[in-house]
Formats: sequence, C-alpha cells, structure tokens
Amino acid sequence: MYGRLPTMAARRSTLIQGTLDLLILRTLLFGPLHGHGITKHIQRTSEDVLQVDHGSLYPALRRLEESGCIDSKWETTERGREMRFYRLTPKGRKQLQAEESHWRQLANAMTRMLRAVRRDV
Amino acid sequence: MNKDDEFAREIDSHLEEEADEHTAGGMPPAEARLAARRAFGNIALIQEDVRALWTHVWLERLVQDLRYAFRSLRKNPGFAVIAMLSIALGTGANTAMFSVADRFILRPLPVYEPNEVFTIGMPSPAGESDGLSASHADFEDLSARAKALRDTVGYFYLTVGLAIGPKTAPQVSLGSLVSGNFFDAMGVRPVLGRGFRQDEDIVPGRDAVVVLSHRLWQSSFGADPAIVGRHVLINKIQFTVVGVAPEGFTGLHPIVHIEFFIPFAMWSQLSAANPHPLEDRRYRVIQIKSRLAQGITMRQAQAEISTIAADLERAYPATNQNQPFEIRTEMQARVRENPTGARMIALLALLTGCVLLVACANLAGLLTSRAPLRAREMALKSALGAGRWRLVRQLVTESLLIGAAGAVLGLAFGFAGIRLFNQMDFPTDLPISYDFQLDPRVMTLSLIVAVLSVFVFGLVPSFQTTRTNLTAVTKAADPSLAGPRRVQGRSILVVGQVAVSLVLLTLTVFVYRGIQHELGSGPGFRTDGLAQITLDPRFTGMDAVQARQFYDRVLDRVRALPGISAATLTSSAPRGWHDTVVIAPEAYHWPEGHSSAVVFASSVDDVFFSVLEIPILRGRGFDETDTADGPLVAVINDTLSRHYWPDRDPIGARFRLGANSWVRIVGVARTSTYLNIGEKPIEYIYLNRAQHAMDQMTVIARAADAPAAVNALREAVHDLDPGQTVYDAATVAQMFARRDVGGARVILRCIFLLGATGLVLALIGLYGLMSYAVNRRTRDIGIRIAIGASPAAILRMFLGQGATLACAGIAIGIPLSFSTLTAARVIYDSPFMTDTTTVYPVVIALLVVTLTAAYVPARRAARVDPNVALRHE
Repeated sequence: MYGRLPTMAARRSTLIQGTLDLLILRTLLFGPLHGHGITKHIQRTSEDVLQVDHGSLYPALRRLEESGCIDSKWETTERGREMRFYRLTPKGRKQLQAEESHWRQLANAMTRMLRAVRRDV
Repeated sequence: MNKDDEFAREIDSHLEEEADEHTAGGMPPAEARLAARRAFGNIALIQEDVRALWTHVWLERLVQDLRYAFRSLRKNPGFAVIAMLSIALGTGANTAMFSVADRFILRPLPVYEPNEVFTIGMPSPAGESDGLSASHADFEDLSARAKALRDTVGYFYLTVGLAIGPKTAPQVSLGSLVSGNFFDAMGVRPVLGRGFRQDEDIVPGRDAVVVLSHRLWQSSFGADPAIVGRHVLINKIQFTVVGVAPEGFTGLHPIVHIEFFIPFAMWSQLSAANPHPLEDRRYRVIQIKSRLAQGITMRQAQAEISTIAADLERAYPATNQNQPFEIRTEMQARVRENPTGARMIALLALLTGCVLLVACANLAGLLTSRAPLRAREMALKSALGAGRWRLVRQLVTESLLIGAAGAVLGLAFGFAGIRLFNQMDFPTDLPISYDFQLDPRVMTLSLIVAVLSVFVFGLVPSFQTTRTNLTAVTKAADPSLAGPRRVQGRSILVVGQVAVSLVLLTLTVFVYRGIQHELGSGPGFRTDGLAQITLDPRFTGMDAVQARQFYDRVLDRVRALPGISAATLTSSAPRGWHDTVVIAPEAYHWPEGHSSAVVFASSVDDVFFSVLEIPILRGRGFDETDTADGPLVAVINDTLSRHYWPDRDPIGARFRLGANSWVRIVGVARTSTYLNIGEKPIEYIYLNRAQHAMDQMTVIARAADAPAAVNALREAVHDLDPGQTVYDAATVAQMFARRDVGGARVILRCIFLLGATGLVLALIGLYGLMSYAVNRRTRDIGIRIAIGASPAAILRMFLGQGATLACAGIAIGIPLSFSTLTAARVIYDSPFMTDTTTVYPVVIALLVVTLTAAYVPARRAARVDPNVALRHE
C-alpha cells in the first residue's frame, strides 16, 4: 500500500558492515572504474573469496557519492561502450586511509583473539 | 536525464559488459545476456533500493499524504473550516498583538549588535514616564571617565525649519543632535558619504555638517546621488551634507523618526530654549546609549558610573546634588519610559492569550471527538498492513495541513489587526508614528504558534487513535460508542471554554465601560470651537527678541480677524509636546536622596485659561501685571498642589526653578489631561510666556467656525511673514480626536473583537459537542421515543445537558473573572473595575447564548424518527 522500506540491511550481511565501502574505495585508488569493473576487480583480487552482491554495490556507490567520497562521470570504454565511471575524491582518499587503519586494528585484534591461549582455566 | 533513467542506463551497461565477457568465453549472445542478468540479481529490487536513498521518494510520500489529507478534509468541510478558523483567530489575534509589543518593547535597535547596547542616565521621572537623561557636560565627563563602558553616544531631538536651498521656504523637520562618535559607535554605516568625524563635535559652532536620513534624502532631494557636498539651510544656517544614513535608520527611538543628524557642537546655534545647552549641567535632556567594555558586567558598570556621579556631585554640588547615574537594558528602559504602552500590551496579551486558549480547546475538542470516528478507518488500514508510523504520519500531515492553512488565514487576520492598530496616531505633522508592521519575525512566530497548537492537539489524539484495538473497533456496530470518556473529556473542555470566555467578556465589558467613561468625562479642557497653529520664528533665523515681537504681532493680528473672539499663545499645544522643568518647592521636606523634581510645564499667556476653559480653583490666572521684569509667577495644577502643599494653601508659596530663580505661585488650576485621556493625574506647571520665552509656540483661537479659522490663522501668519513655516494647523477637536478618540476607538474595537471572538469560539465548541452527543445517541433516542418518551422530554434532556455545561462553566468563570479583574487592575484601572455588579448582565447574556447553542442540536434530537434511528445500523 505504501512504499516498501529498503531491505539492504538483510542482504548486506554477506560482507561485514562497512567493509564494502572500504573495498570500493580501495579499488578506486588504482583509477576510475565502472560498477562492473569494481565487482570484477574485487572478485579477482580476493581470488573469488569475496562475492559482491549488486544489490549492495549500487546503493553503496550512491551513498559514497552522496557523502562526497567519490564522484562519477559517463565515459567511453576502450571497447566503445558508454559507462558510468566512479572516481575517488580527496575526501574519499582520506576516508580510505581512516577505514584502512580501522580495519587493520580490527583484523589485528581478531587475529590476537583467535591465537590466544586460554589461561584462566 | 533523471536519476531513475540514468541508473537504468548504468545497469544496462553493466549487463552488456558482463554479457561481453561471457561471449568472449564462447557463449552464444542470447545465453550470455541471460547469464549476465542471473548474475546481477533482481534489477527492480535494486532499483528501488537505490531510489529509496534519494530524497524525492520522501517528497513523493509527502505529496501522497497531503493529497490524502486534503481529500479526507474535503469529506468533512465543517470540521476543516471550524478547525482552521479557530487557529486563524487564535494566531491572528496573537500576531497583531505581537507586532504591537514588538514596536513598543521587543524590536531591537537598528544598530550593530543591538543586544550589547544599554541606556544610561540620571532618573528623571515625569508623569508616569520614568526615563533616563543627562546633561551634555555630564555626558562628556561620563564618556571620558568610564572605563567599563565603550561606544558611549548621546543624542537629543530638535525641531527645525529645513530648506533645501536659499530660495525655498523652510519645512518643519525633526532632527537629532548627536555626539561625534554616533555613527561609528553604533555601527551604522551611511549609504552615501560618511558619518561624523570625531573632530566635528569639538569646537562649538565650527562644523556645520549634516547626515540626512534615507527617507528625507528620497522625499526632499529626489535621491540625488550627488547630494554629498551640497548645502541645506537649517534655521537659516548653512549646513553641508556629508552623508546619507542607511534606509530604515531613523535614530534610536521606536516611535520618533529622525530626518537628519547634526553634531552636538552646533547645538547653541540652533536652540534658544537654553543659551548654554553644552555647558548647563541642569539641562538634562540628552539620551545616552553605551556598550559594556570587554568582560564587564552590568553590575560592575553600575558601580563605576555611580562613582562618577558621586565625583560629579562633589565637583558641582550646585547642579549635581542627588543625581545618580543608572544603567538599564534597552528593554528595561523602554518599559519604564512608556509604562502606558507596556500596560496596554500586557492587557492585550492577557486577552489574546484567552482567545488562543479557547481556540486551542476547540481544536482539541474537535480532533478528540473525531478520533473514535476514524478509529475504524485506522483499524482497517492497519489490518491491511499499513504500519503504525505510517498512520501517525498521515494523521500528523492532516493536522499540519489544517495548521498551515489556519496560520495563513491567521496572518490575514493579524494583518487586519495591525491595520487597525495603525489607526492610532500622534496629532502632529512631525514624523512621529507607531508604524506597526507585520515583519518576518512576527510571521514566523504565528506559524510556530499555529503548527505547535495543531501538533499538540492533533498529535496526541492521533497516537490515541493508532493504539486502537483492532477487533474491538471493527466488531462494534457503532465505533463512536467506544468512547464515553471522550465525551467527558470534551465536556471538561467546553466547561473551560465557557469559563474563559466569561473572563474575556467580563474584562471586555469592564475595560469598555472604563474607556467610555474616560471619553465621556472629557479631556479637562475645551476642544470645540478652537483652531490651532504652531510656528517657530527661529526657523527663519529670528533671535529671541525678534521672535517675541513677532508672536505679539501675530496675536494682535489674529485677535483682529473677523469671526475670532479670543486668541492665546502656549508653548504646548493640547496633546502636543510638553517641556519639563526642574523644581524644588521651598521648605519641602525631601525624602532621602532627592532634592528636586522634574515636572511637565508650558509657557502660556494671560488668556490661556479662559480660552481653553481650564478653571482656576484658587488664586488667579495670569494677568497684565505679570511682566517680563516683574516678579516670576506660576500657576500650578491641583495635583502638584496636593503633592507639595498637602495641607496648606499654596498661593504665595515659592519654588526654585532651575538654578536659582524663585517663582511665586499665584493660582491653582484644575488638573486636566495632558498627554492622553485616561492618564493618571499629572503634576503640571504653567509659566508665564512673558517671563519664560519658548522657541516654538502654538496660537489657539476661539471661533464660531473653527475649520475656517484654521485657514485664517495660517493666512494671518503668512501676511506678516510669507517665509514663515507653520505646522500642526488644525482644529483642537481634530487633534483631540486623532490622539484620544482615535486611540480609544482602536483599543475599544480591538477589545470588543477579542471578546466576541472568544465567545464565538466557545459557542462553536458547545454546539459541536452537543451535536456530537446527539448524533452518538441517535439510536438511544429512537428507543426512548419508541417506548413512549415525548419529544419535549428528549428536548429537556439535551437542553439540560447543555445547561449543566454552561452553568458549570459560568460557576467557575465568575470567581475566575473576579480574580482576573483584580489582577487586571494593575494593568488598567478605572473606578468601574470594583463595580462587580457589571458581571451579572454578562453572565445572563452568556447563559442565553450558550443555551441557544445547545437548543439547536437538542431540537434535532427531539425530532428523531424512531423508525429511521433504529434502522440506522
């Protein structure tokens, strides 16, 4: 009857919240790229471990564009196809640094936790 | 290309790219496209997710809600109209009221950082007004010494003849003498040229420079862009224009609109009222504004200026004894300077507050009783899957629609109210006016009031509605039966409305009677058959001696005119500008800290009292024996007499006037009104014109045909001197009507409108509740009639219900009215306020109209056809 609420939250759980943003920004660090290219790059680089859900990718791109981390332009690919290319803005670059270091901390913490031996037995 | 299309294109390109990869791997194109789509997922879903991120979706929903709300209001036009009118009347009254309060008290000074600006001076209470003022010499000492203050400026008013060239006749104009730092310190940047330089206010009489107001520049100089450097003549003295003040800046007073500014140093050249205005410490007429230095509190500033005043008292005991400096915020200064205005605002605020209360009660009643009727609709919708939040949103949208429409209509009412208030007027040609305006702040306020009242009264019932129990409501044959407590709640609201409208009506009647009485008892002097004209020979450059001779010639000529039986000269036209003098009655025992008093005064000639028919109660008026070189004499009014000579005859007593001239009292005149009708009795002194010359005098002539005499007066002056400027030429009755009758009429009309509005709203509330009760009980009534109840009994039952509500409201309203009256006497007092019998006719009238409002629905109940009623469901 009335507009359905977005259901992104449910489907984004395949990737840890916020991770997709980091992956997108990181991918764009190598230069402007379109949505399809971003998907392929993430899958290739992660040796197909990370699967990008398109239902999450495009809303994430919109959100990042809205917040000024990336901007977009229609350009022609080498094969002559008009595609929308996303590019990292200076703000996005800063955001990437912040998210990267945040991710490293988290990863280190996780690693330590998993290696830790229980001593309080 | 819109966002949707662009995104569709992006997805297409994505799919093609993906398909290309598959075909490159050897897949047939059709299969490749299918595979690409499979890999992508649900396109429509993704598109919608992305769209949800865009704000226009939110707008789409708003439009949807608004359309829905509009439709549902159109189905119930009666409800919508009454709700909107309630809000419109409530907010309209408050809008008009706020604009008045704004002009008198709230509007910030038109300067840089107005909140920082304070008023400083020595208390000089005259009449009811308790203002602060200072002499120029004290002002200079203050600004030189005070470290707690910065940007200390002074100003004073000046009425002059201003000519735009040597050949043009001077026009009367109101200007301001200001300190050299005036524009810089107040942060007022001229739009053309410059403000004053500090050195232009140092050497008396040297720098004849003037800054014009924007209005004068436009009206008299055609907005000449090359005005700077041109010359104008002020009282025949040539001044150079150095700047034009910004638009809308007309000095620091809310009502007096200054047309030009000149430095204090030119004061002596322009005024004969005091030969040494810059040095005379007794001549306390300057207004001082100042800011506090960095980190200084008001208390610290007060401490420092008190010390400075004490130093001045030691240094100049003759002039500065008991003259403390005081600091006030702008708001304090305005209220104390104009207590009459402040009281009027308080009275109006009380009344408009009552109206708003009744209006809100109406709204609450309407929305509350609608709630159960809508419960089924809501229950149905939620059964169909609409979220609660979405339902609330829709109800709120509906409330806001009513609120916004009501607010817009309210602005129209407010605007009408402001136009009504603007009929209040000062009877003078000088640029003194209230100029009430509907400014953006007022509009914002009324919108906030409207939306807030709808929110409070719309939101609360809507939460109640959405909490409705689905099964109970859909099962019930008549959903409105679900709420007996609602009727109870609404009854309380109606009782409250009747009570508040009784208070409102009582106040209205009392104030109405009081003002009518004031108008009826008259101003205390004759107004009909009198013509007046004001002139000031200094405008054409005459000195004091020439001026007095000129006045004598004018008077001789006027008295010789046919049709004029008598003529007098006074320095204060009735309802005009009154001078003040500082007096100290001989042998009066002053309270601690006081040694003199400021009193309103005017200079009049020997026939003044007989022409204006002001009776002399004791002693005599002035006569030919009171000459310029004879002993100084005065006539005082009996209010002053009772204050300083309470138990002895003041005739023959003396008071010190100014420095050390002693004046003997020769007569006591009956107290009349001086500033406006209904004022508290004012102490007043009449001085003799021969002994106290004033620059500006008004000729008042008695004539059978006063309007014709006005022209005769004007011609008489111009026959003697064609270059002479005259102003405020009118009959005394016209001036009196403009000031007092006009003002009183505006207040009366306004109070009457408020009272009527409150009553109508309360009646609507009562009528609405009764109709609702009748509708709700249609079936019940049908059964009663079917088993034998007579229509008369049904009528009695419902009428009785209405009467109970009305009586309960009145029973609460009567004591409430009395206590409100007692409180209101602080604001407005007349001998009638204690006459409580006035309440009873109001009570009876209210009872009659409330019963009528209840009768209509009750009669409808009595006519219910049981056949129809019982088949209702």
